[in-house]
Amino acid sequence: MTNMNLPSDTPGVIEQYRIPEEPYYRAIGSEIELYEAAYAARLPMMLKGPTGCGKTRFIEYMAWRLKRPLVTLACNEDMTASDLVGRYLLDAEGTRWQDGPLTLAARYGAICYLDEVVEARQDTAVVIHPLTDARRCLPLEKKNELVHAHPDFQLVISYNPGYQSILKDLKQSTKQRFGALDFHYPARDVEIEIVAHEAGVSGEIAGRLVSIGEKTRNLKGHGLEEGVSTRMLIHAGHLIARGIDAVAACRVTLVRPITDDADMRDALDSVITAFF
Amino acid sequence: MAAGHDLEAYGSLTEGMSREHLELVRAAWPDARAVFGPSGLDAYLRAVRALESIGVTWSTIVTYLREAPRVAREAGEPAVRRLNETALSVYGYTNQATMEGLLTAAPVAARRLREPRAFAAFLALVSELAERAPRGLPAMLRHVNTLLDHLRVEDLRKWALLGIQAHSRDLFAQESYFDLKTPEARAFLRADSGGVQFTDVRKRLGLYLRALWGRGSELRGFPVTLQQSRPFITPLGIHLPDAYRAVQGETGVALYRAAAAHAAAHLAFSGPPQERGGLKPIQIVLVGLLEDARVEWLASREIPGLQRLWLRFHEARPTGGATFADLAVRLARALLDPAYEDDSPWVRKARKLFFESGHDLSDPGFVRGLGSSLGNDIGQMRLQFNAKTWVIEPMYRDDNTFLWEPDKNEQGLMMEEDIMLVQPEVIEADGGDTLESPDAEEAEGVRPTGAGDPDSDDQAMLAGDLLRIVHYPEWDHLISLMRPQWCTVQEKRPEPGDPAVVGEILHRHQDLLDRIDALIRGSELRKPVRLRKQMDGDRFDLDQVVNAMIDVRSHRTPDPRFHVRIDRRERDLSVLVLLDLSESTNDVVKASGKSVLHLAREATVLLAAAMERIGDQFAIHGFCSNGRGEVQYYRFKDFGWPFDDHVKARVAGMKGQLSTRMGGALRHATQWLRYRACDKKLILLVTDGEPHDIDVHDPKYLLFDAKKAVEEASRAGIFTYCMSLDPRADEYVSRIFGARNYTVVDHINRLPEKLPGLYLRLTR
Repeated sequence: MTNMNLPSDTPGVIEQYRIPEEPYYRAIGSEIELYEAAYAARLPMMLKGPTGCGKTRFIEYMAWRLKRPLVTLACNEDMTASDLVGRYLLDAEGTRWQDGPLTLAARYGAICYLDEVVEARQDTAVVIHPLTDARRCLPLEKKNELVHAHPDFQLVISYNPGYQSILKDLKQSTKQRFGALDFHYPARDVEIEIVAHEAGVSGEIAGRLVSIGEKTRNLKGHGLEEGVSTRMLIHAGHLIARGIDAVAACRVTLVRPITDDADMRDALDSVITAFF
Repeated sequence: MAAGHDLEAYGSLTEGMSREHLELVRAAWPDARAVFGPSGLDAYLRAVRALESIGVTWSTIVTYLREAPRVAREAGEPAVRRLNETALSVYGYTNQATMEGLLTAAPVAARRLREPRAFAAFLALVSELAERAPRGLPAMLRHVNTLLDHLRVEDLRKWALLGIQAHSRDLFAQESYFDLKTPEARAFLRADSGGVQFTDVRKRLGLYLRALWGRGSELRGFPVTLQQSRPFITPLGIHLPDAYRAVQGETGVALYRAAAAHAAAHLAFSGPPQERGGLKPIQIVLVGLLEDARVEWLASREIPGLQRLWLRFHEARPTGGATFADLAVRLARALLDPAYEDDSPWVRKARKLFFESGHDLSDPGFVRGLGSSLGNDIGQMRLQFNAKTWVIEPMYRDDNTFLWEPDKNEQGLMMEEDIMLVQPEVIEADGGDTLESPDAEEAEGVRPTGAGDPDSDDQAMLAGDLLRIVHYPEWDHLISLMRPQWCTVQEKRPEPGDPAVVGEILHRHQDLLDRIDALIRGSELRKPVRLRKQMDGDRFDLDQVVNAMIDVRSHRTPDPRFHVRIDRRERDLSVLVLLDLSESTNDVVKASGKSVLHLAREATVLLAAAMERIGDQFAIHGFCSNGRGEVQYYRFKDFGWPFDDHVKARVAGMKGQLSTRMGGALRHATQWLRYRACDKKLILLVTDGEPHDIDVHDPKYLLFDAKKAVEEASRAGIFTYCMSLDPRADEYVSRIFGARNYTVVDHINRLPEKLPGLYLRLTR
């Protein structure tokens, strides 16, 4: 209830969601053009791909580029429909309606980004349905209000297929409302460029980091749920740029976070020493 | 030095001592006086009197007089008192020679152990061994220096107890164990001295290779012999020695890693096997050496750290000898290490030809010509080469046999090996290890193969009925230790029977099935739950809101928990039904005229029907055993398989035979469940008796092992429940599974109706 006093009924509230400066984003393919076209058609989009490959950065960049505010919500399995659309709160005078992030975005024309939407329970995810078809509206049942989406509003979700269990999948009826962009870890040269730029390390160091990343991705499904992501490589680069020994930096940022298994740890440590 | 420290001051203790002994004491006194305090001297003399009184000869007394002060110097006076007691108790169980052995070994042990507590533990172990292994003790005392070199006291105790256990019936074998004459006695030392056993590193090596090369390589261990001491590669995979000691300051793990990486480089870059043609043995060796260098160069270009890894094992010096073997290791280093300089013209020439002749190193073709010409040079230098004694160096490199088509006269040997090693699928798993379920599914496909599928019959013939072999440790309650790799689970393809049998069961119990249906509906397994007084929720909890408003109006802090949330409890459950298929299940139950197995099958079928209706994920497995080397494990139905005719045929075909080694089967079932992504996991064991097996005579052994296996499962988040058909089961089942985690079915003929009901109750 921390934002209890936020005056959500003024358009000013949406201004805080604007992205002031251009985020760094290195295009991998034609995703920028595709997204721009989708936005022009107000087509709801789904960003698919493994964690840490740049989905969130991409949507930030696009929001900046399209000059739209971006309302981001990280989904979790305890989330209820109220967390999306809003709820009545209690204050000194009685009850007061508080818009949820989805309502906020729909009302004032922002891009609403639901991160890891599979984490939300299936019955929760269904509330986005009326916003994602021709109706473009959001019924606030408890408030007895029908919010018609602002012309600039667009809904974007991220989705990591094969992540978690089979039980956590989107309903077909949800999936089919979206256009989807596939994200992968970038090609080697691009990934080197990204790591070097973001972490501020030399291309040579970035190259070695990317090699380690590529090798660990070979272990996906063989004891690792996911290989080392671009984001993790950037973290390693950050530490190296601060003068930390490369092997130690890689252990801290690449190996220890993703595995607790002693054998896997040893194998990954050996991979690191094969490059540094 | 106080006057009280003179021997004369202890007249009361020396009085009556024989003159001969008194002389000995007098001779030893200055040493003793320098170490012991007054009370220590008192105890020292009393010990001599005690030795005298039990009638030992003077040589033992001399030993004691000489060694006791040394023990005191190393470990303090109290240690000597303990030694005195221990010596007398050892004498009680053994003889004078053993006691003398202890007295001689004591200062050595005291020096090595330092800690009085460790020394006390050592003495306690000696007492224990005097009682349990009187023949082994003298040998162990002789080797105390070597043993403590490698082992801490706790490990020494494990080593000794393993020896007693392993040779409890053969005292001569036990003696040679303690005399370090048997391989397993030495293996234990090796494993704990910086050396590494293959089974301990297998998994991490596999991951390492998969990470570096992006593909799985089968890794196998082999026992090192004089003939085969180096790794080798066959179509079955990479074969590595079953243990590596630490060498050249490098750990065994590094050596394993170097060997595995080298073999993998071969697999990545070496071409298919070549004909030997007219090559002489020395040329074959050199072609192999150049090929090693070539693949290592290519691998290092991709993964630079490998060069550093391999170089750690290259010790060649330019000033080394000039035999062929020396030149070969110098060349090996020269080709890997750009910084290495060698003065041998032959090495220089080889290096120059290798790198500078303008051939493409990624093409395997050129090494053959270069190798044979370098071999001719060696011939002209008149250097000796003996193909019989040749062993490739450095030791991480494989023997290169896979580079060549097998010789006709070697072929027989290869064949034998192939036969020995052909196993359709071997996954080794230690206690906490994984049996990777994705791979496991591939092993047999997602659907079972078998009856009614003509294609798969051939396949079954090819692969044999053995699907997978897994080794598990087993708990030995006597030594409180897991015996590593002790129990072998052989997963076998079940023989299909007639699926109509299962159909008949379902048909006959239609009324029961209806009752189960009603039970399922009645128990509302997916009932939504209304959670009141929540911090967050979809709507207000009106009572709480009223209270909160009263609080607000009366200027008190309101309780913020005034929401209601509806939670739908999802049922996310995986159940593995594990059936005991031992011989005793063939017993006929009088009340029904059917065998136990028959009733268990009926119960399983009805349970399966119930689980299908609820929509729970379930598997039906069974086991029996024939000694620790053969725990047979059958998967009748796996998770994800529909309960269709294939499965029904398999269930119909189950039969009872052999014994019940519960622990191994439980561990294997645990592995099947371990990596399933679901909230709750349950092993439901249906058994008709207590664990027993033909090679275990201690009735508690398998009981405790099963208990341990249940604990392991519980640590992996798997709940184990036992349904026992043995009316006398209360005595032991509760010890294995815990007081509330079992049911004993008194009337076995009622099992079919009881099991599904129990299941529903259990999983509500």
